[in-house]
Amino acid sequence: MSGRVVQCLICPKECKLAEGQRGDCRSRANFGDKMVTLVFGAPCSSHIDPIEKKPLYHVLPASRAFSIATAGCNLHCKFCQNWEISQVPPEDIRHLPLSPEGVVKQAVMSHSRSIAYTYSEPVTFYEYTLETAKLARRKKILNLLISAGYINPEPQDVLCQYLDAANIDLKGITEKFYREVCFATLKPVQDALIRFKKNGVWVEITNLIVPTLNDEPKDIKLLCEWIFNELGPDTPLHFSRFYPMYRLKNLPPTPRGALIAARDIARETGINYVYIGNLDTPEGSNTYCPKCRRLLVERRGYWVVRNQVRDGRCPFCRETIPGIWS
Amino acid sequence: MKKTVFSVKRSNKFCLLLFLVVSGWIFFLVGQELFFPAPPVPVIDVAAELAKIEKAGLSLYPARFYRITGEDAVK
Repeated sequence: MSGRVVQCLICPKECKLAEGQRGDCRSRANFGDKMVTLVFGAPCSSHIDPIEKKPLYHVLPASRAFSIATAGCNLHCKFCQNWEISQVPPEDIRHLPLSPEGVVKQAVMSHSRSIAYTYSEPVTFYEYTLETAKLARRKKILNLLISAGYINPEPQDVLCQYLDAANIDLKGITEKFYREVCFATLKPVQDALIRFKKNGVWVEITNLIVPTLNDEPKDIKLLCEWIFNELGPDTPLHFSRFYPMYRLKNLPPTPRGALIAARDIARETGINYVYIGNLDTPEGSNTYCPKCRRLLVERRGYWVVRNQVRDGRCPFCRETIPGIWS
Repeated sequence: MKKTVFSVKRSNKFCLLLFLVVSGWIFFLVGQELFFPAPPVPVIDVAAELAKIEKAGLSLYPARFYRITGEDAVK
């Protein structure tokens, strides 16, 4: 075997690859001393979703997001909800040839106001995301990144030029949890979150609460304090319910009480917009004005029943409600 | 009194200490190689990999953000 070692710099894992070898994400490889991606223009999933499914609650409520994903992920979370596509090499799963132009065309045809790079991990299909996002920007279609945020600063800064909003999965607040459950590290995700914010990308955070692994009230408190201090109180936080999946089939679903307790901790910390996802609760998905406490956006599951936000403000007290509303 | 091999003159103590440190370091390095060897460079059938990719209808698209380390993959 000949050839030189190539080091991928897209994510903090910085895999060193010999000729023909794949990265940890399974979709990037070294061929001929050059780094290549195997999934450009080859999504294994494409779907038209309500934007609430991402979840992005402060971005164009009740609009459609044309959503794409390719096989592979640079994390290996034991609780992965999409492991059938994220934890397989791209050749082991059916895909549909769809160029960046094709994605934008489909988004226009389906009256989607945004394109979401989602389901698996867009950091691993970076080039496809970037080229599609450039074209979408020209057509005034928003670009949404739904990601674990495990990306290096340089590629992130380039991508941020074309991104409008991101939902980043902050999976826990301890290095131990990230190392043992997600096979990654916490610090780069925190740095990426701060960088998204600095680059003017609208950020919402999802935290999946996994019983016995990251559901300690003190950890949730720490997570909320970090968000409050580093990203600000107007950063929406979505607590999501865990269901037994992939390598954690031994654990029960997150109890309703744990999610409500987490929401209370977040509100006590000072976070203004806290939501509960993956669980049917009467108020868990609603948006309330942080000043006058009136109901602004009423949601049932992924559907918006009523949206009273007018020009990004509360119609009752004129408080500014941060987000992308039109 | 007769000198034994263990009675070391004060002037030689430094030499003995140096000997212990150097031999200890060599022992550590050899032990590390023996018990914790560097992972071998994987032997990959590049042609088979390419065939698998082609068969699946995937293509090789130039990626961004990488560097050639200068390390030789041949071992």
